[in-house]
Amino acid sequence: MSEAIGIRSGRRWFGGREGAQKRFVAAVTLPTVAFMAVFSVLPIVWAFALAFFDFSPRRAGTPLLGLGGDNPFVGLEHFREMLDTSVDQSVQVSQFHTALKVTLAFAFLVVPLNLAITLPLAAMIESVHQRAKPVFRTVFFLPVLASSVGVAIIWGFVLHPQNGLLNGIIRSITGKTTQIGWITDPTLVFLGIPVALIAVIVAYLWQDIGYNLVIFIAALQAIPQSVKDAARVDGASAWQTFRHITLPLLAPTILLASILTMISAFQVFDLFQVMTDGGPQDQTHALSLDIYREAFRYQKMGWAAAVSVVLFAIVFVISLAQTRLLRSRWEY
Amino acid sequence: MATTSERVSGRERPNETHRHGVARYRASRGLLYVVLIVFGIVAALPFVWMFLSSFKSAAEIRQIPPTFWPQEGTLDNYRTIFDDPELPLGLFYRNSAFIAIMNTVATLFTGSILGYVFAKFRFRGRQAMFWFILGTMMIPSQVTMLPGYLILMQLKLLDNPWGLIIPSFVSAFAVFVMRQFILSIPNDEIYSARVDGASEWRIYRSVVLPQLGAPLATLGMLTFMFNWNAYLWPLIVLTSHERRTLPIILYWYSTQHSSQVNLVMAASVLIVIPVLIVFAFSQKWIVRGLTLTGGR
Amino acid sequence: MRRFGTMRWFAVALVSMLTFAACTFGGEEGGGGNGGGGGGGGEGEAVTLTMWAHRSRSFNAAIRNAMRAYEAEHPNVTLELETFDYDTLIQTLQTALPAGNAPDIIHMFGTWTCSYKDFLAPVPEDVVTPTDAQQVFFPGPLGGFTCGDVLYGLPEESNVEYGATLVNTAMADQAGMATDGWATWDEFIADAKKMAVIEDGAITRAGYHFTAGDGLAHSFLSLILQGGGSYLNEDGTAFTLNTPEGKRALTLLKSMVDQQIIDPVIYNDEQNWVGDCYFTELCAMGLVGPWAVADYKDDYPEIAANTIYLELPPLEDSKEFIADSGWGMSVSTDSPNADTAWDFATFAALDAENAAAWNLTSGTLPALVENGEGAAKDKLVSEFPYFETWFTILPNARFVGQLPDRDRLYYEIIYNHALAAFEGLETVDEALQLMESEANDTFG
Repeated sequence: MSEAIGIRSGRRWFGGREGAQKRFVAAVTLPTVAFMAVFSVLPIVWAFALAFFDFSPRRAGTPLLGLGGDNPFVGLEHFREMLDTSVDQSVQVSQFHTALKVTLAFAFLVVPLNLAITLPLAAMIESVHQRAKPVFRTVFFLPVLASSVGVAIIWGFVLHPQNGLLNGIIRSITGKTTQIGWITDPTLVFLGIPVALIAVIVAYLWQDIGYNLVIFIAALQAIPQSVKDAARVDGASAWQTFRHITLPLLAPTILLASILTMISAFQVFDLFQVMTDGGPQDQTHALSLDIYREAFRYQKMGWAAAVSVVLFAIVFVISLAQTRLLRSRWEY
Repeated sequence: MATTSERVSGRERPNETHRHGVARYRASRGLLYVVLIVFGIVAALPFVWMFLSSFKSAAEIRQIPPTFWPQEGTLDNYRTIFDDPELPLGLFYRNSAFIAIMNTVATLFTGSILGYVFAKFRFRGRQAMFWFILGTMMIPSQVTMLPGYLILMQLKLLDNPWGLIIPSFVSAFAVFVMRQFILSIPNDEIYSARVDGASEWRIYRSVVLPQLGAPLATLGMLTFMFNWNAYLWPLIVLTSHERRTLPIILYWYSTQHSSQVNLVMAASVLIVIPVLIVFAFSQKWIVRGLTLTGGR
Repeated sequence: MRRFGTMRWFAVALVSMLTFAACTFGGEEGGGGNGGGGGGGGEGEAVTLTMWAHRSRSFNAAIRNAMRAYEAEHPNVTLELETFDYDTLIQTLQTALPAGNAPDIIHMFGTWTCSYKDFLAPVPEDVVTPTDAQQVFFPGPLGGFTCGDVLYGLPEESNVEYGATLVNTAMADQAGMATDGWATWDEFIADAKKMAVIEDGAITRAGYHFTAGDGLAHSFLSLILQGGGSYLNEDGTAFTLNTPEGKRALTLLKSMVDQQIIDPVIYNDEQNWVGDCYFTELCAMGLVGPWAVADYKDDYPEIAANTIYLELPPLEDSKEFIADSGWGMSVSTDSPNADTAWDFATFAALDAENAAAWNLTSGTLPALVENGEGAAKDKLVSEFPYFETWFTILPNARFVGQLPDRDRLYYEIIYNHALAAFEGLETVDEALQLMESEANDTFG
């Protein structure tokens, strides 16, 4: 009893068996909190703060995170400028608008295409012989393991105008000299989308399908065979089984995968920089590239921070919308 | 004597239905395999093309129309790269390895110990802190990379591999996965170890950690792979050439030798393939990690 | 009680953040600088100097040679070279210099100098005075390193990117083209067409490659000068690109694209860059300075053997062309070993022999007048014959001037809009208008 009272009194707070636990917890959590405060919280707070300043790392500001002073507070100025669609907008604003268009087009094309490829592919791989499954899965999963710089370089070479595989194949079919600049010709447009952007989409899909593929395969494997057998006994064809049994059971996985794919698509950087560097004529100038350039090449970190806040807002809103939309459709 | 099949009249006999069904089944199976194989070949084509091109001479790679199989295979490209004083691959492999290994070790350590604390201990603010750590996962990297850079600049950790390691000490993803797993470890072992007088650290080391083989392997492989292939953040932090990692060097090399694609392909093979093989063998762990949480 | 727990964490977090922020931002930057390993070295004390330079095989080799030679004469000094991608160098300079993290010596591009002058040490009087410098160096390279009346570095190179073009003599013979130069642009275009090869509508060999970043910008601005115009207004506070001379320049360049001498979609700065294009025989002629030959001749000796430089025709009478102020040595204000640093800079840039050796390895024209005339010049030409034509036209070089963001102007503004005009995405007038407004934005 006295021990119990003792534990509650400050002197023996860290004493005894319970005290050892408390010491352990404190030893682990306190440094973590301090660490995260500096390396997780501070950056987030600072990023949102930067968006309201005109900041360049070369200018000295006040001791408060370098804000103020030579890095003046501009309030909502950056965001106001972003809404400027007049003819004499500044270069950085028009680049922002372009980047927005490119990134939205990219994301909204990549996600449905990705699902349209990975779902059937997963179903197909699931239905082959047990021994063949890992082989097929490996082939499609391998690009995920490769560095995206490597992917960009390989595809850059495949699409090379003179020495590339694609033009070589076209040449051997048509017999005519083919020097199509798939990623360098700004005049090539297909269904309103620049061919260069399509090329990046193809390269990205090639690398990315592995993720969703293995997730869907795992989800398909988790569907008990008994359920499928029951459907068969009731006379359902393979297609009907897929549509009315499998798909609804997969719904949560599909939802999660599509949200994650969307979020990733907004943050793609490597492919855009290494494969096309935003070209030709800014047709592949994505938001992440825009942020990078404005921040590190032109030292306009306040503006870049504002753009990144916009990016975050978009990702957040779209994820929310996706969750609501898809969840309601699958609920019954 | 009437067989069972003949006794049924008025519709197709079961035997024939069966055979017909089997034939249709076989045909659709065959089609399935054909489609998969074709897709598989198309998916593998870029890698194959890269690999084959690395054995072509400079003249052959520029040949128009381009060849698929190397007509005169040569190891010269690889020899050039190994002899190239400007591309000390060993140095860059070391740079990448150092950062990837340190990051993995740190992440596994902090993830496991924090996961253990969140799973098996009760303390004030536990819920809040856990959800807070999870919340940090939601912020896209583009948002935090600018202030991240400024922080490193203030700490004078720019152009320093530690600038890549220290900020990533605590990974929310690792903490989450580890906690999930540790929750399922029975408490009795821990309690009995306490009764036996073991210190808390001892318990962590000898009771908890040994049981974490699977998630440690998974997280380890995922973290290692992610760090090894990382491009943007190392690009921002590591500015001088000699400190850079492999993906950045590959891109640099490709721009230096943009006219000698054979060399670029050989460099790509040397930089991409070895780890690809390693990762391919540890596929099991990586896939498990992805399917556990859908984590990218 | 639960809330108290949360509050406790919150407090710890807040305190950590504030402490961190205060510690790092409050107060002076504690003396940065990567160099100065041995303190304020006098003679005999071990001194380590760091130098930053952009990555380029021949330039880095030349710098390293100079470093080793200096170390041999001064055994107590160690020189270290750190190299950066061209783009990364710009970024790094922009952040490191104000933050006080500069190296001892910077291999500085002259045209940039004035943007960094707050962080660069003026050349000491005992090294060379500004007035003497005007005798010792050519005006072009010196112009970049001079801001106001103060000299901030020692130039090593007379940068030239226009005025003469690489010509593949083997291809010229094949096409029946005389290699004696051209009097007018019409002649030039006719010859370039002869050397271009077109198959099924695709240009498989370009006649003349001028669509790389440097080539395009230098061509455009030089042609403005040659037409009697000016790209900057009188006090250098605004660009004047949307002018009749600007239009004439851009139209001439566009006409070459229209006549299928080159396809800018395939041959530009990112793909089939002029050096690559020329030395892999995909271009018959190309616009690039002699340093490119130094870079490529070891890998492509046969092409280099068939290469000469021929003067480009003038637009009218004037043969003026713009030149940047080339690479040179600057010392940062942070360096604790400024004396030794300037000693090395003097050794490399002011000593005629060392400077000449540097020029030879890097394939650049000398900045020292002494090396540009007489016996020294002949020696350089005999060892690197590609210099010859450039020496002839060097007197026509005009320093481009102090530009607020030279790289952005050349490689993004002029390059992107010129290409857009060539490819039909913008009209010539639109391109000029956008070029001018975006260029003037860089002043802001």
